[in-house]
Amino acid sequence: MGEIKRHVIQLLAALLYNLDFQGIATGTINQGPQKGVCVPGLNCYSCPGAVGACPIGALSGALAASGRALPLYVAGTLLAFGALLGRTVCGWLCPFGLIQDLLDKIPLPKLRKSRVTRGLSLVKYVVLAGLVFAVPLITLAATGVSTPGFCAWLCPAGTLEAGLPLLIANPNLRGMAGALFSWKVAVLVAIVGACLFVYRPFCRFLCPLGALYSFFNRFALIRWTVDEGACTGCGTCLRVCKMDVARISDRECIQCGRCVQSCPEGAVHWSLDQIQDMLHGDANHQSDDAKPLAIDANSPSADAKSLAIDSKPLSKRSEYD
Amino acid sequence: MMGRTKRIVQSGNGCWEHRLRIAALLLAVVLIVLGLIQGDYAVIWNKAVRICYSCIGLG
Repeated sequence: MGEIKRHVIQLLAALLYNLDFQGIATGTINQGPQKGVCVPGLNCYSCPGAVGACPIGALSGALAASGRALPLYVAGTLLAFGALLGRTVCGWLCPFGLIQDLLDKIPLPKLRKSRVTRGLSLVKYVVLAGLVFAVPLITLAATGVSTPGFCAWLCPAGTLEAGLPLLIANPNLRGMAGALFSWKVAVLVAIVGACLFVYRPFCRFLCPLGALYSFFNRFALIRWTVDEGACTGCGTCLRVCKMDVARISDRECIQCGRCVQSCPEGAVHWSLDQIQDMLHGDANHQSDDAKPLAIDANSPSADAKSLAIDSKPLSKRSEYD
Repeated sequence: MMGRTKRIVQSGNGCWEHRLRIAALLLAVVLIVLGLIQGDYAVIWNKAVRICYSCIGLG
């Protein structure tokens, strides 16, 4: 039920980002005054239905326009999204995340996560630094014309949401499709194909927006947290998680909530629960320095793996120990 | 699922995390306001209301 609710919210977010149905029908771009407002998820602003701006596209565009390393409006917007939501955007508010979630439901053999996939999750930071920041600035300095590296060479959302719909709706654009478009379609096909066998490959390994939000994930206002008083360290949450997490709400956690449903102790809660406690006058909440619980060997939720890992609380233990 | 404990001891909700969140949000507001004053919104809008041919692999 929780998963269905999450998908409904993902779908509503996708619709909200693309409310210009007339634009979709006619293949034209929305030009309303709100178009400069960034949406939190990856949604190409060249999509005929898009009513807001893609944050990564906006970042690349602002870098190109000013040559500054830090475009203030876009940086402030991303900082606000990050501090409020972190990678909750990835799990609940990203249209391309929804597409990957739906493709994952096709019953085919899936690649299991491992230390290798955890290591590959660092590639998205290279994409962020290289294609989003370095390429626009370097091409601007070298040629006077900036290339939005990620959007032009990699982004599958742009191809799926903008490139293909625009070509379908505008026959006069089809003559412009050349080698670059073929490359982008090939990238899209490869990622969609990978989604059949790997959970969220784009989010885990390539998405620069997820990379940006990951810096905020551990302290974002809205996220899942572990009640260390209830946690027995059984590790069930880490085992059921499909992302490459080492702990709940680390840089790879997309806040999908699958761990909440699996926890036998009900120890995973929304972070807002503690804020609610504070508003009701509870001033004695503990910090991360709270003494970790020892795992009780006689506890029914203890298992051999938990005992072998010793008495480390779940928030300090890695799936890869 | 078990009922919520009376007092939830949560990881990642210590004082420094609260302060960091508040600081980040305040900084975000300042950056957005400064960006708007500098005309960043118009830059983004001008790009967003046109088909980004290079973004979609055309041209």
